[in-house]
Amino acid sequence: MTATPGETELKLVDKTSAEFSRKELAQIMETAGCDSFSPEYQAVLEKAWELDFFHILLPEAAGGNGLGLGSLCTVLKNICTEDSSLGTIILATLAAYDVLLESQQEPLLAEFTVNQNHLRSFLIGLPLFLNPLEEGIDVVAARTSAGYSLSGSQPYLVLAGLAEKVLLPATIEGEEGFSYFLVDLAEAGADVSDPVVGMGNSACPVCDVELNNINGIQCCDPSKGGAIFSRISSKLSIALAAMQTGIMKGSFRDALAYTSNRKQGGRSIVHWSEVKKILSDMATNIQLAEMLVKQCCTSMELHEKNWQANADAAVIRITDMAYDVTTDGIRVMGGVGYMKDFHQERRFRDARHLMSVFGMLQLKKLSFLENHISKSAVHIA
Amino acid sequence: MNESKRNTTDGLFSGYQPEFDDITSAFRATANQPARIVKEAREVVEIARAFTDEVIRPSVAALDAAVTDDPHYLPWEFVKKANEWGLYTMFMPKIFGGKGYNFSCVNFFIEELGSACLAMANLVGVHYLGYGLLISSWNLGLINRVSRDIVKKEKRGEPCLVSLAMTEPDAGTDSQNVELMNTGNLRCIAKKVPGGYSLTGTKIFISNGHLSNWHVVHAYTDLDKASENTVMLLVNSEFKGFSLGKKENKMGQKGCPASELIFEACFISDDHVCIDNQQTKKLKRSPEKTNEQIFAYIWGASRASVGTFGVAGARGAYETALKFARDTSIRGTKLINQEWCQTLLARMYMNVAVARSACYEATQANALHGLWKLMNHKPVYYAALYTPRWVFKVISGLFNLPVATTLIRRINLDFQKDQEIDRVDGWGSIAKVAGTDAAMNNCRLAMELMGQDGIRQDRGLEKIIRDTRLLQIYEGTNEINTLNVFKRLIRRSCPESEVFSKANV
Repeated sequence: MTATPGETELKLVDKTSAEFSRKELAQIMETAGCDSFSPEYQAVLEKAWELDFFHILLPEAAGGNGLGLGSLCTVLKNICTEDSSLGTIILATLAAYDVLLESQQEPLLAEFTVNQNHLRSFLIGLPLFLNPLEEGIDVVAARTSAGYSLSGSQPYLVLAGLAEKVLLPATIEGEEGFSYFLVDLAEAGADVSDPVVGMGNSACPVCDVELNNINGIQCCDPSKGGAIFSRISSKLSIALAAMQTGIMKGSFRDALAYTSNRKQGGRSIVHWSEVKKILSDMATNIQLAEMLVKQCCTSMELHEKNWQANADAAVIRITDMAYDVTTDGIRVMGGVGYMKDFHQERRFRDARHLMSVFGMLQLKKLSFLENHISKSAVHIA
Repeated sequence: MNESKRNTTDGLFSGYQPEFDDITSAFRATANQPARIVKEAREVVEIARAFTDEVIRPSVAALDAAVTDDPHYLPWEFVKKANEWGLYTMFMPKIFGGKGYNFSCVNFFIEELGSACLAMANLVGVHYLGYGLLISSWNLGLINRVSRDIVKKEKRGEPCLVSLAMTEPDAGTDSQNVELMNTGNLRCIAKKVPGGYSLTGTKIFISNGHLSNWHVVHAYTDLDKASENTVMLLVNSEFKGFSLGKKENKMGQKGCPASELIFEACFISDDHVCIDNQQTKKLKRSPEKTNEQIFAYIWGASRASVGTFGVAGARGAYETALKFARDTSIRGTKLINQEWCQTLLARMYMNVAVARSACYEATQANALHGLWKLMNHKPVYYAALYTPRWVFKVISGLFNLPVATTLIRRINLDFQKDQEIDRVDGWGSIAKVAGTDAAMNNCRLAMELMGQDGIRQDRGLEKIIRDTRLLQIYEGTNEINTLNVFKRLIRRSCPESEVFSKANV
């Protein structure tokens, strides 16, 4: 059977990203560990950028290669099999770019994507773990003669410290909703904390930021901020689900290898029925997750009516699966699974870390009905 | 009469499964135990809360960070503080010079400490694991000597801890179950030499290994038949041939070191042999069965405590989530006033309560039939309480008489019924699984609730999650413990069944 052009590109992306992850990223995890500021990790970041992993989702007109969500999911899955930090850096950047695209800020976007010759200028930070619709926004924008001046706190700002500019949701005095503002953290009035230590994703820098009358470029009308967040979070939730799938695949691969070699009672533990059952559960979850991600990508790319419901439902379940699979990944390896000499403990932490991308998981579960029941009642019924 | 009835204990209705006694330890213990124990428990909780507020809470983050920055860091400052507070002799019987708080209260104590920091709770609790194994040997002379060494050093301000050394590089589960020992990869060999044993081998993942003066070590005189040739040896860190290997770099419980212990032809004199086949030959059970019985003594007690560590972790996660819910508003309303959040918190509270009940049942199974059965016997309890300390000091020489150990082993090993062994060991496993699973469940719920605050190290939950995961692994993985519940409490209903059967091993 001859592959279609789309399939050929997807296979190439799969091969390139798998090779990069296995040969370069995994190598760095063995030697330099998870420090985003180490020269070794910086080199890997640059390499990922050169391979256009940061450009996959961007349309060609905006300086990207427009390969689409399916390709992005493939890349992120392969990368997160070895390290989810790099995956999160890519996800945060693409989420920020998506906000600019949804806000129809192509000229602003071009400033970042066209003729950029180093990664740090290309990156844009974003509070990736915040759901501004539910959890509230502390940053307030006040009108000035030159535009807007922003003040307030933005905790847990992803890529702050690494990216030169960030996108922040802020309310505007006297108006409903929120707008996204582009802010340069190098300006006076921005107080960026030391990197915040978190559960996982150690190589993806995160800082708390205090703003005191700092200039911001308004990217969208406050009446549109919520809808933009809703669309990009649903779309990139599929990518997030692909990342969780990658973490699960890495966990399963290492668990299977260990249990095949480790003997107890004179026999490889992979042959113990209880261990077999756990490994089967892990494999089943991964199989399901891959199916769901693929289905969600198709649904979105075909602009199906209920694609957002599909995406939001998938990420809730795949997040639960990743929680269980990475727990089992340690479980079957016993004590060594808990030690830093192996990578299972890191995957366990990373899977939990990613649970809160785009907001609290409990709120995602709680708001699914009200967000989608009216749109998808027929499909759910 | 069905098969299960014919194969179970004597007495009216005793053939029914579960047996009445299998499910009523806490209920029966209430009638049996000295009433004063409740007062002791209150005192113990008061001490634990004072210690937690004064010593643990102010330094939780600092200790975790210190070990993250320097994996070789050892928490001597905390250990010295615990020693100053008398925590390492607190649950040691008064007859051996300890403070004599009843062991039934130890899990109340652990829960308080562990709900603030599991690693620091382990720095205290693991000492009693090692000490408990020493007691399980019922070698009175040795117990007395070690106890008095700990008390003496405590007074001098020199913490003296005991560790338990069982796991080996290629033998985790193998080292803890007699059914697996002979086909496993045990390598720690004790060779009989004039005047004692020569010990060679390596033990790994030994909690508090780098901090302990005494190590209770399981070794084997015949590796092919390890289950019936196990010896328990007491090794001092200063013995020739003993050395400390690497300290593991763990995901959590970083403050409590997991150590490698190396023995290279380490000579252990006869007076440091806790128990071996020579000492057990007059007991009624075979060496393998006695070995299994000693395992049941220590696991019955220590797994109830690990379950309680789980209760503590579950409580820590619940308390952190509760604080978050009180401080946080969503859609303009405090979380604590949103019904879904109230039920989530109630679920977490219930997880703690149910797990605590399971651990309490296991604790009381020990009080009736296990490690501290004798100390809970009313005449013994009150005699220990009201006899002046100097009397015990004067008569302590009697503990060195072989007849004393023979007598105490007769009571604790020969007189213990098979059903009692099953009950103590089975409930230890139930408590361990119930407590540690509750901890993991609560961590999950708290994480789902707290969003980005849940993943930040400076908010507390992140550390609890890292710490908690270990609980499902050590003292036998939860899977092994689940299998042990079948072995101890279910198999008797189906005598045709096998555990660790050849189909698996």
